[in-house]
Amino acid sequence: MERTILNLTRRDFAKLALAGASGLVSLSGLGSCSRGQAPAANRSLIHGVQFGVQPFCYHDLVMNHENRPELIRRIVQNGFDMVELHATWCEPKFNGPGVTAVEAREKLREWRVTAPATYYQSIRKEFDDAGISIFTYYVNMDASYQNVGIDYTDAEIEATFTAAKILGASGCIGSQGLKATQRLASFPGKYGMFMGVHNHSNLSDPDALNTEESFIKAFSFSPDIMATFDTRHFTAANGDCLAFLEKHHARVRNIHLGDRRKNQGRSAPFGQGDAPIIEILRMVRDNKWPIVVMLEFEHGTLRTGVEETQLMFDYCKRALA
Amino acid sequence: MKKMNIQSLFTLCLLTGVVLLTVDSVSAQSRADYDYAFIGDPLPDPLMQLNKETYVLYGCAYCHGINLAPVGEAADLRTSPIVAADVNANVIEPVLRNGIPQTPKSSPMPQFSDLSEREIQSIAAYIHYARAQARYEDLTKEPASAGDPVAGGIYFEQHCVSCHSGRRDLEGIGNRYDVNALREEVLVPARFRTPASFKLDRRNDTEVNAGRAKHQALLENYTEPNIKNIVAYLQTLK
Repeated sequence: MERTILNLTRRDFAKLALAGASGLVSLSGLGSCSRGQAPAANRSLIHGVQFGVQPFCYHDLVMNHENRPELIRRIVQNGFDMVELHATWCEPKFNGPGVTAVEAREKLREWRVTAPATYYQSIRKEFDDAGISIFTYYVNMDASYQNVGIDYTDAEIEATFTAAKILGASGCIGSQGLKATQRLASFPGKYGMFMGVHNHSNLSDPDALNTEESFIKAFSFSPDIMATFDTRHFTAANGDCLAFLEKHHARVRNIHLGDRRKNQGRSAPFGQGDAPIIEILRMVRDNKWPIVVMLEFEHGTLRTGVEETQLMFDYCKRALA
Repeated sequence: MKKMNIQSLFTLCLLTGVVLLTVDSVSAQSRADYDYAFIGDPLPDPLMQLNKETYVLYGCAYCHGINLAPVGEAADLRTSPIVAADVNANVIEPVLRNGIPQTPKSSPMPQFSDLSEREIQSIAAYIHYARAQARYEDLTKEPASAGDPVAGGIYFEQHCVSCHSGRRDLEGIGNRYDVNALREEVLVPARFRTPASFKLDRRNDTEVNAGRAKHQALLENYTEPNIKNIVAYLQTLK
């Protein structure tokens, strides 16, 4: 049984890619990513490579639910039909004057486990109406600083996967370490989803996702653990992106595509770092791998996030032309 | 006399118009792809604006924030002891050149070994500037009030007497300024509120330059009690 992407088989994906390249079909009506009366999709399926955007790209846009309409507007403006959505774009904030971080964290937990399905259905509709699929739902389900050092309860993990499912996501992803990943490993299968593990470049932390070895450990926890492979951080940690993809492409569900310099170097515009961006894209295209490419940048620019993202997307289109 | 005034006024208007048109057209041309929403309006001092743009272009703002309010797990440079200890990038430079690879954080501080000395100086200068701005905003949120003059006198002895004296330049300052104006003078003395001059005699005035640098360093690191106490002490200088 082949693993699925957007609930499509690899064969469907290849067909879709072919159709997308010729502009003949839309994603409407296919599997769980049906968009009803949504506008024609496929706009970011480029020569068989499905692109999406990581909303970190819009540096000036605070990641909260109030800014979600503007986020959707920008995604459409940049020509994407797929996104990796952080929970912060959906969830209310509970911090404020007189509320401690711990109290806010507890209130968020209470809210998560009681949020009605209709809440997420209406969010999904916003994206559906704009012709955008939510491919992955980004939540760090660990005791990291983002959670004030407080771990998730099982009920909260279940609620998070349920929310992701309603949003139409194929998986949840996070930057949690190996220990937290092992704990989470049994959950995604219950929902027919995957758990994406996202690497950073911290080589000093034995629990961190950073190298091929750390990914292999994470994969061993469950067949539902997949890589959200970050080319910037893998390059900065002196990893070989092409060798990794060659060996582990079947366990890679999406790529965070960006450029950085080796030896823990800085982020850089596409083509100015050491990540083999063009080769990665061509490898995905030529092997028809069902790997979604999410554009993400952390390098500095004086341009707006929309303009910089467009330059990156255009770079990718030229790479695949 | 009246005719001269009209001519002067006309000339002034003409010159102003030319200057405004020039500034506007330069601004429109060079700022067309400038992210005002993220970076903010250009600073009045073009040199500090260059420093800010260098800080943005090398990605510092992405983690440490455009005004040093950090995003995610990055260090808060407004309270960083590394920045507090820095003078002319002597501490910041090695951190930038080498990064911070050993860290419990998920994403280590990258290394910026390829930056020029000028770029390093620019980034450090902007960090100090933004840190001073942040302190200023924090310290002026509430109306000024006086604290403990004795503690203020001790602070004055420790940090100010190398340049100032209650019997020389500051004599009678308590009569000349009210509490708000005194606080403002302590935070940013009037003589340092405009960008540094490049007129040769001013540019090479080591006393003024040292004073500007010293006051910026002090501003970055003042606490609220520091300010209240110094103000109280200065009020005693009648």
